[in-house]
Amino acid sequence: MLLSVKGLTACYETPAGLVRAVEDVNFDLDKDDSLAIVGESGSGKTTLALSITRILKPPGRIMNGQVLFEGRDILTMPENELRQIRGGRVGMIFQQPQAYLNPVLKSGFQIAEVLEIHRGYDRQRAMQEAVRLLKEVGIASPEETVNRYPFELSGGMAQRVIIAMALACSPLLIIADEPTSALDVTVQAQILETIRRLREQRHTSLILITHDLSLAAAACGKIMVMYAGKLVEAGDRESIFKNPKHPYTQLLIASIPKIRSSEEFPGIAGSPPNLANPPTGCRFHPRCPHVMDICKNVEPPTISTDAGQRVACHLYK
Amino acid sequence: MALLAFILRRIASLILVLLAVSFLVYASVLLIPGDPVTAILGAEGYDPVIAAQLRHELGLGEPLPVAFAGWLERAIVGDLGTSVVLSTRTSISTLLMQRLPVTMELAVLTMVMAVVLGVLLGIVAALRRNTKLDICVSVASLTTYSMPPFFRGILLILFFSIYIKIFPSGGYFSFLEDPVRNLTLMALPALSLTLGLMGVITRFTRSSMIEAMEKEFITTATAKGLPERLIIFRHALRNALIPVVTVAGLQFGALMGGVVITETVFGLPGIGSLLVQGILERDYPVIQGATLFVTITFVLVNTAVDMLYSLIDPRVKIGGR
Amino acid sequence: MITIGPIVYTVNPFTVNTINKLAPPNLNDFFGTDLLGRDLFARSILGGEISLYISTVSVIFSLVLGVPLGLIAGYSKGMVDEVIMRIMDIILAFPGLVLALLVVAVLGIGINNAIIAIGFTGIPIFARIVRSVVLKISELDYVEAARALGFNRWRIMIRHILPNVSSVIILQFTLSLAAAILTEAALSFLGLGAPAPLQSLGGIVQEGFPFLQNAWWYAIFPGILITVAVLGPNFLGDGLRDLLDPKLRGSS
Repeated sequence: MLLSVKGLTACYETPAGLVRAVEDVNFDLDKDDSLAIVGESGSGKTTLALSITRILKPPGRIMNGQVLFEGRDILTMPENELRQIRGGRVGMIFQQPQAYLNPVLKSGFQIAEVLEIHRGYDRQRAMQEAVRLLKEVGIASPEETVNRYPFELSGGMAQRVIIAMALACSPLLIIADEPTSALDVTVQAQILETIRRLREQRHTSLILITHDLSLAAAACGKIMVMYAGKLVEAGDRESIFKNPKHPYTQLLIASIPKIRSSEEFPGIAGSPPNLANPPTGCRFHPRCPHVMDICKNVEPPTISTDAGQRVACHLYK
Repeated sequence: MALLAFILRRIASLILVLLAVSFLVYASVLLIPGDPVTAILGAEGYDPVIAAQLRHELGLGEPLPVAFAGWLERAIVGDLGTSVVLSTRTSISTLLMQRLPVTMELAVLTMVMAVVLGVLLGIVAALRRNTKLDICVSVASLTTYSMPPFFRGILLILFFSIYIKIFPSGGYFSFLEDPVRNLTLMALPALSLTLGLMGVITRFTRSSMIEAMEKEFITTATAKGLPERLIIFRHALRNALIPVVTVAGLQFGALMGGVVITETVFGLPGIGSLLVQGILERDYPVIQGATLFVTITFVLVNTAVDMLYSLIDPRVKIGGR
Repeated sequence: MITIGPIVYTVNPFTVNTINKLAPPNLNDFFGTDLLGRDLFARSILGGEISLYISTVSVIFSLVLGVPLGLIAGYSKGMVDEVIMRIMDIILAFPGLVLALLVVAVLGIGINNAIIAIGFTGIPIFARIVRSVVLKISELDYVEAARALGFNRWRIMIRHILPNVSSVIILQFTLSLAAAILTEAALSFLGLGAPAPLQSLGGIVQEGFPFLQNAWWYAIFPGILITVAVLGPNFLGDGLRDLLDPKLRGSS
């Protein structure tokens, strides 16, 4: 198993109290797998992504759990080992490409850096490799782009630079946190296609964080749904869509606009909970159309079905 | 191309400012209540030859534009008139040239120390934010920054010349003659000025670094597995230093004022102390010459810093101004 | 008799007592005595009042001239703005102390001349900050509305723009006050400030400097007082700045 997350709990220490952003999340990811973590904003998915490579910064804190990457626990690893994994074995892609690139360093250099540090290349060789990588991620004129500053690039191009940066050392896993949300719609599809193509070519595992369920389905074979910091359902793409078990998942699927139907989707009632003071019992219970008494008091355990699906809901035993 | 246009525009504006400054310095003579020559040389018993020369040099009796043009013409070729009280018949430019090395050495030593120490201290304070060290640094720099420059000098003399006799407190020896002696004599004056300038640079570097370290691209750098040293110095600092350069450059103005005081306190024969003596003795040509020199240096340095800023920040350089 | 607000300190700063000259600090004379046996504590208080008087009036001078100039420049824009700002740039082209020295050289030594010298140096900064606030605000909708309704420009300036500018002015007042105190101290240390016998703190330090070896208290205590006087407005300015711009919090 490439990545095994067990009982991960992370929170933020705020003046308003302890915000429990991620609570007791478990999942596995194998080589060549692609997993989409889906949830609303505030569901904890970004916190989860940052926790996997331990780059969560104060006031965020990882409270508990294990993140076993290639058998070693990232959460207890010494710094220098961890640094080798970051960038070398795990690459990350973030949401706003311009913000996540250093404005005063040339784009090519920011890619070359990774190679210099992790592979010991000298500047020249690293820059050559950077040009090659830019071509691979679909940039038309890589020799020019390599000398451009981030602000000179369009959003889509900048994101491709970040992808190149993430892939530079041929990592085993890529974690992409909403990689296309800040981009134009047309560019979104292109970027996703690029990620998909590269992933397939290089057999890299992928964790894709998104709020868009249809995007998740298009890009990944496995889906994990999060709500208010907890894992509510997980399984492979077909099972989730054909047979969604958790009420939240069902509502999410129902909310995807369908071209042929003229039904109006009423939206999911209520609003996301305050994570400093989450609802008792099942965190979704205030908004659940199938709520029962037990849901208000007892947290539902996570059960596995025979199809390999997991769900945390009192409706299932 | 945009860069060239920008430079040309700056130079044009620079020339305008220099002209205006020269005019102000020149014309201020005319604001002296009563007859300037009498005011300068004293009411009676002055040498009529000197008086006549002074009258000519100051351009009195001629219409203002003509007088100013004449003065400016002479000034450009280096003739700033002659001293009439301090060192009669000595050319002002000679006096300035004699004293220039002293002031320059003081200024350069101070700027270098202030920037280097200030930036380092600012980085340390930013990395150890809100610890006792950070607060100590803040309080210390606020206090030294609030002291009048002469008081810093006096305190330093008290501790390092009188109580712990490390450094002498006055006088000057040329660097070329005797480097060691020169440096021991310049140490305290430079230090007293540095402590004042450092305060602002430290605080600014600190806040700039803190801001830079919070930026998203630092997360990327961490996610790339870069060692901490590289993240701080290559990624954060380069962003943080850009505004610091401007601030440091602006400190040069405070430096000019401080130089005047410090040279007086430590008895250094520089241009600053020349200016003060000139004012006390009412030697107007000296006052004009020294003021002009100091101000023009100040304007030139400011312009240079301004242009430097555009060169370091690629966003400005390539995006045009 | 000297007063610090409601407290009355009954020692005359002018009483000469040469037998007791250059005495170190003691219960009678908290700061020691000076060259002529005068109580330095009393002299320092008087000197402090003079320093503060000159500094405060100078900043008011800068404000009274700078703020209207900034308002006019920001509101009128165009040629008027250019001209005013160019003049401000030229004043700013001189290093602060040097300009003050030049003014004193021309006008002579004295309290009023010192005020003019320091005040003159401070005009451009007020003009600039007021102008930038005015520029930002005059773009706002409610000012456009007022203009569209045909309100007299002066009325707009006073009623709508001035209140927004006041917070910036107050902040700058504290910063300029700190700078003015330092400049005043420098001038009087050089012998170009308030003349004897009413010297300000800087002047007392000048007197005491030659005696540093044997009577350190003479120069040091007044110097400490100046530092304290500058720290006050600096702290205040810092606090105000953090209040007004929370983004900068953590920078001090």
